[in-house]
Amino acid sequence: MAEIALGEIHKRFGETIVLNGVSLEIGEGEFVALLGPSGCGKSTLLRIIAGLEQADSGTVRIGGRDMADLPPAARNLAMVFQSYALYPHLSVRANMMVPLRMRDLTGFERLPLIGALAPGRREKLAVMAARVEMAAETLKIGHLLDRKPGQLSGGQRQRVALGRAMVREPAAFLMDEPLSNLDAALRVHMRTEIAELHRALGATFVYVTHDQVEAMTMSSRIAVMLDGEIVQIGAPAEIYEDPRDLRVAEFIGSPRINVIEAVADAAGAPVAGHGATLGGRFAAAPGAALRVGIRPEHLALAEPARAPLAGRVRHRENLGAEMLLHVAVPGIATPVVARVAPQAARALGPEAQVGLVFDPADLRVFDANGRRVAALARPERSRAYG
Amino acid sequence: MAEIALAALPATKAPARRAGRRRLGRTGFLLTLPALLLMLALLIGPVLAVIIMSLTDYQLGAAEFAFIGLRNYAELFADKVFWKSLGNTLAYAAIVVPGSVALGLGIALLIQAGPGLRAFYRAVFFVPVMATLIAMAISWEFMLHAQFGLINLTLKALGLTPRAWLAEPDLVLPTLAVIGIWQLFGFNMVLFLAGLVSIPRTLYDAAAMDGARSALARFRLVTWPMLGPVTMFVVIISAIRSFQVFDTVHVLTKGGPSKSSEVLLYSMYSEGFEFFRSGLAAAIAVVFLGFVLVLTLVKARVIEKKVHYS
Repeated sequence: MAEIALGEIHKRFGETIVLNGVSLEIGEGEFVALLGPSGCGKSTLLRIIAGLEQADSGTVRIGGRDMADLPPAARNLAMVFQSYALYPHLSVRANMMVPLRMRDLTGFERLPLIGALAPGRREKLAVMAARVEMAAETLKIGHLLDRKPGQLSGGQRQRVALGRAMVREPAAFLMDEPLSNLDAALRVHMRTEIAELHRALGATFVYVTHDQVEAMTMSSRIAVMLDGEIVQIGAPAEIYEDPRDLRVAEFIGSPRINVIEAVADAAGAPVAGHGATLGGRFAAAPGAALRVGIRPEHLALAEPARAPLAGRVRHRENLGAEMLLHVAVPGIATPVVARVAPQAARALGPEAQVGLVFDPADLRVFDANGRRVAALARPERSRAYG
Repeated sequence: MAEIALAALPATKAPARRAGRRRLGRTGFLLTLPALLLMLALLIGPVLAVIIMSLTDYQLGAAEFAFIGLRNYAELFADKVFWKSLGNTLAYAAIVVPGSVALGLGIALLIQAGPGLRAFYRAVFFVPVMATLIAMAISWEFMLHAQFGLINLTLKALGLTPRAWLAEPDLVLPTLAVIGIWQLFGFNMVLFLAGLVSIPRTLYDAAAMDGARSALARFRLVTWPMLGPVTMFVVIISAIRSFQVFDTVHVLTKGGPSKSSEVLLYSMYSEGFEFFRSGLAAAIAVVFLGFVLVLTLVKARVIEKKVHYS
């Protein structure tokens, strides 16, 4: 177990800048998710921590030791790959044994046939076999030990890959989208298992994913990466409720946060394109262009005449426990999505005219560059309208 | 399902359905007929003809022939030259197969590891495969010439003893084998290169994470096992091709000196086209076919199960 500290990591492939000065501190035993869309550099960052890729500049320190020029084998890290990367010619047992054999046996002891002549090799192998059995027990793959990876299902291979990572008790676990090759049901199940495994081992986990649900449900902290930079890092709830950047707000949350173009009035309150004042007061100069974000679950149905947002229902998505209403509001380019109780929405016919209300405290306001604009006075938790 | 469906049908419809199925079978047979005929004419027919001929006393150009049972084989197995030629062929293969496989793999690994000029190296090493071996054998003849050959001149310049490469009984077979390796390894190299490209990169990443520090450790953990199917194919093809050695023997030694480079196909050629004993030549061809068949069966049955992992 160890903490990981990254300082000002830069990396480019040819002309393309992949990582642009990434700094990140990961505490001992922490579960940090690197979350971002594909191509944001998160996998490259993980490979640089692992030593599989060299950074152009910057420092990687693991357990306080500088890792510069150390090969992956010397860093005592374990990695779980998206494709599992199991050795297809070896049994599950032999696969899980590989990290132990490589670390604990000498080159001579690993030789076929004559390696058996080395004194003490048998005892070492017995210790290793016991550790493999233990890890297999933890992951409930004891009955698969003599099979080849080709005979296993995706979920079983996933467990074997985890087992191979576990046996050596590494300083930290690096996981590169380990669940993305599994079907949806198994993914949900493995999410819980990996989170449990993290609790049981108490080891440092660095988990790369593009799936916000994985990041939100498993990690103690999320580092949101966009275009080769960490835009925001914090606990899942903080990332969701207090995004520092419009891109973070848009990336986290499904359905996406509604973004309404607005202009600040003299008091700092955003006025939307169709003329309605949205409420609240923000640190923006009068006349400044603002982008107001409001999450679908913060919108509620109301009388159209008294609501700041009103329009026709264009589309309804019934998800069972909730209903998503796509409302076309005149003066706002994209339909506003509201997440409402199905009971409330059932009475609405297609093309019904509805009003949407919200608490101004739930508004997340960003400037034209997408940076968060602070609220001046925290408005009282009450509906401004309706 | 089919039975249930049939049983449920009214009795009058069942015969019609059966007739329809027969018609379908006939159509299927008719459609495969062209391929079957071609296979009979070009593959199975000639093989059968050779086997039948090996049981006769037919001589090339003779007007008639008689069946003589296994007498050709009896003569063959009693003939010291046949055993010599079979032994030489096996010895030749025993040098060429490991030589060309190891060299092909080694060069492929070097090309794969190097950063540049891959296409150039690939092309250069592939030239001997594409060149006409008869023509190349003549160039080798000049190079190996005892007095004026490039090789002996070089040896002399280095102060080493020149040798009569194609005239000394102990040297002639290894010399032919070296030419065989030279001709074959480029082909093996290309197959190994294709195999190397198809190894998933993540396996090497996994090996690096698991503690494989040296190139040798990576080779033993990932490259060699993952090349298993390719290696098996390359070994079988190399074995079959070294069993077929003929061109170099014909051009350079004619089986000599004193039968020390006599090989199976050359014996067949001289029996069939120099002494016109086609029946005996056919018997040699059948022995040769037997070896190729055994190699193919080994490939299909034994090894294929051990080197494919899924």
